[in-house]
Amino acid sequence: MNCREHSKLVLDALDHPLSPQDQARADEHLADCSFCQGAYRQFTIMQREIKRFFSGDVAEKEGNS
Amino acid sequence: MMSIDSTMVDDDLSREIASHRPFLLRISRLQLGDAALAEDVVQEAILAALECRSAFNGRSTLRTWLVGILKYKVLDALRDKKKHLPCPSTGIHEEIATDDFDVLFDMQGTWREPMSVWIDPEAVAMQTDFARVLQVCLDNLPPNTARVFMLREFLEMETTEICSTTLLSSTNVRALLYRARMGLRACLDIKWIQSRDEKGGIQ
Repeated sequence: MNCREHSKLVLDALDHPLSPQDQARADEHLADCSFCQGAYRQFTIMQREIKRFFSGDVAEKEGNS
Repeated sequence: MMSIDSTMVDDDLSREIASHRPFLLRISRLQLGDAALAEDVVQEAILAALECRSAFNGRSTLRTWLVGILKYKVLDALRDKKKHLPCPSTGIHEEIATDDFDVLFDMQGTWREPMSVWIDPEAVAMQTDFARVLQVCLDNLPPNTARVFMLREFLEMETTEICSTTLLSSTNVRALLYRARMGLRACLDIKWIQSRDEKGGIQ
């Protein structure tokens, strides 16, 4: 597995559970790849804040931006 | 259609409901891709909220409650207006191609650059800042990509439901969701870090 494939699996996993084989391959790559660890941290923050945003659970005062 | 006249906005809660209109409109526009329809849907949602404002019990935030009402109204609009779904004539096939992210990876498919470290928006004030940046990045997505992404993240449809709603294949839905998230990550990577720099952050 390379980083490009890993990014696809990590993002796919937001919509479908990965097969045990894919999950194992992804975990194995992640354990050894600092770039993907960094990307994974970004995707995790992003996804959490997207959920917060679309649920309306952000602070009320946002200005007019 | 009824409008919100001043006699209806007669208490603090009503005024507060009206103050969330810009946020609701932004989401509605992104989802529906049609400014006039988005206005109508938000108007309906706000009227519904004003009519049953006594049902707001304060257990969620007001905005969360309003977003819940908006979801129903947007779903109704999508059911009624099949023509407003993404369709091939609106350039969706150009949007589906994900090649533009190839530049991020080398020949072996390895990220070319190490990832920057984002400041995790743990404090509420910082979450508001992040939300502002996220709004800009959502607006930057190609329109059909944004709409499919919002079917998933705003309306929380399963991908099978997105396929039946949009008549796109699961491969294409998957490609658009990938594109949306990769695009958002790239945009946030620039704008979130810029935003923290402007605030005098340590990064």
